[in-house]
Amino acid sequence: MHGTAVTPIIHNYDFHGLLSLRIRRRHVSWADSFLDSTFAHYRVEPSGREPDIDVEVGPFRPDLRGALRLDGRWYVSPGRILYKTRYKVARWTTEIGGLDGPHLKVRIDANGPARMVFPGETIYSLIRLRLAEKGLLLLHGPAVTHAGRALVLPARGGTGKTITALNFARRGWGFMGDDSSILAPGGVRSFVVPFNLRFTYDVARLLGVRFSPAKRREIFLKKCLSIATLGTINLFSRIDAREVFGPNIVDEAPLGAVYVLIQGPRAAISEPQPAAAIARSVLINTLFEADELRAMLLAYCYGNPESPLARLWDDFAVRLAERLFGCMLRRVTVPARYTPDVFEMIWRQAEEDLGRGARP
Amino acid sequence: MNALYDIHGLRVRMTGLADASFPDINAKLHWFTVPEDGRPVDLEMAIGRFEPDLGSCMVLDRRYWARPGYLYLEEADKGLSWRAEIQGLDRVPGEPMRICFAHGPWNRRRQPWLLFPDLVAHLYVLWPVLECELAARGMYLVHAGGVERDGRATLIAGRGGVNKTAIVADLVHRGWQAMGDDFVLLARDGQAGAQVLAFPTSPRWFEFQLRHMEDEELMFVDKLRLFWFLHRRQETNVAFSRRSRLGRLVLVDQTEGCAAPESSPLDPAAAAARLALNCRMERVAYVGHGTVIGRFLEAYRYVMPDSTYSRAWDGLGQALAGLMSGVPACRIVAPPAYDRRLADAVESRSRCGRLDGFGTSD
Repeated sequence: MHGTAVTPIIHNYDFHGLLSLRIRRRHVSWADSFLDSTFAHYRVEPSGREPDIDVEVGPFRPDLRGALRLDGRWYVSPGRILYKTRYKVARWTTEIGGLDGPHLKVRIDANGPARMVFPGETIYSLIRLRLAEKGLLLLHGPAVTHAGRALVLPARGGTGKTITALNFARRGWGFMGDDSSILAPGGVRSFVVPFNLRFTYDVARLLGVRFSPAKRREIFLKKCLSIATLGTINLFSRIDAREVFGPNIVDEAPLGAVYVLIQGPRAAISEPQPAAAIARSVLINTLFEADELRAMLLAYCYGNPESPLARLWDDFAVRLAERLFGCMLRRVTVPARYTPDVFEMIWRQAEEDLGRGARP
Repeated sequence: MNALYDIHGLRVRMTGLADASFPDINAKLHWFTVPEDGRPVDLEMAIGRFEPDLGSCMVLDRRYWARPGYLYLEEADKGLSWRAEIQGLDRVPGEPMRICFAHGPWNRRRQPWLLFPDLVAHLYVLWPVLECELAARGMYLVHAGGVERDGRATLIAGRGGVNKTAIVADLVHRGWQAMGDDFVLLARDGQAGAQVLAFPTSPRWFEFQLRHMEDEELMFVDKLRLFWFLHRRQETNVAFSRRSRLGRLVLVDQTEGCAAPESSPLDPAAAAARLALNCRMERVAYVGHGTVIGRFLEAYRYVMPDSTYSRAWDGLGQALAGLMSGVPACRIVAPPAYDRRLADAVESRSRCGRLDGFGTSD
């Protein structure tokens, strides 16, 4: 199914003119549709300029001469790192070059299952790294907008980020991303990627959207499977955010408020919190999503202690605290059972916090 | 089975340890064992079934449950799984901390009785807590081998697999005294300077290495010999030096395609930074993708951002920079396969133990 000599398939992406990404792949396989759909919102025509991150997917022969060998797993030399990753049956080798310059040259050799995993792991790591170096913070949490200002909702998985963001969208708020959002110096930038839904709640009815017939069939089959196995097998469906939100997508807005959602015993909203405490929670939340990048940076900096990348997370924390300063910062406790009342509570507070700042 | 350890003043009691045929090969703290005296301890760990109390806890990733001073976790890695609860995070000084630990159903199969089944509890739960507790007492657990001669210690730091144990064993043959082959503790010594405290993690393995092995390649024959060696249960005669003044740091790096060990001087600040990175890498090195040892402490700070519990360990880099200032350091680049020349290089770099700056010894 793969490995045949084909002309490479090249896709170019551009994130708000802040970061450009090019992905070239040398094989054709259904597993790659995952890679193609991940950043589809940011696909652009080739510009002729050298991209910030140049990724080549396909087998390659690494050159390890002169490389520092760490734990038999990472190979580090100035500006370059090679490492192998395993996750269940997925196996992939990544080589990143140009870490000391402005353009990253990346080669990824992945087996079949890994092609569904590395877009969300390795490519995310690269984007996170390059954005952080430019002073742009990719936070783990959706962002919505109201009255021209953004509300960011950092939360751990399973807390109810997606359902909160969807509910906000239903009330006509702008949507900036379901999984992550970018905190830039001037405000929040969108980061719209397809989102993974488990159909425990009915998105189609909630938002009044009609999915394509193929998607409806897929969702129906997955639901049947879930019912037949009494919920043991509950598969994800990937939904294109543009299909659901379309005109509601907002690409840029100044930051108005940050609510850290935490699952807890009963629904509650805290009083405004100091920036340092919220920044720490947001940082830890982001670090939890960036395991691969964290390990890779540790290994790279062990070999190249002089590299400015050694300060990446420290700088991240400082910038984060700076940008949160002056915003409405709260902690929201969300019970394990997410009911309409919970959203109602968050919505009322958010309406008040964002609306208040909009008034002259 | 119970055990009481006294780690340079930090008293740790473990209860409910499984019976292991050779506890001294994998029980990381075995060397610190002291007879039970019934006095209170700083840290208590009970292994066995327990019921967590999750009332009013915040939940993260359905893996961590936290409320002020309390944490419950359910983690898994590489086919092993475990549950643990920690009471007494952010406690007032002098109060004990209590950890309950329960194995998952498959752990015994993955970690057979022959070795030390409770290694899981040590590596994934006790170790990060221990690092924080020691750091809070001004002792920093660093990932480096240590040898001592004439009251001056040389640290041999490097990632796993750079043959630290083999180097330490070779130096012991040449009349040095060992302080630990994988870890040592660094602490302040009076007004200025640093002292090294012994932290031998598996002295029996080190002894076997010392007597019977030339490098760290454990062939099948070696495994049989190791089994026989442990089976005879001879009295150990390897003496570890308990404490000594820090004299020098040697950083060993392995490079592909390198012919012979080459050394170069290293700035003490850079050496301290590398040493701190080495300790941090220990938390991600041997675990599966997506696992970080000690993540539960981060999860706790996510819920309780004002907690100061792991702050001492977070400041590891600065603390080591302070301890290492003025300590001569060098870096040796070596080929991946071990040979004696590496120990020669380390020894020639350490022989002139005077604190006369680096690069002047040869």
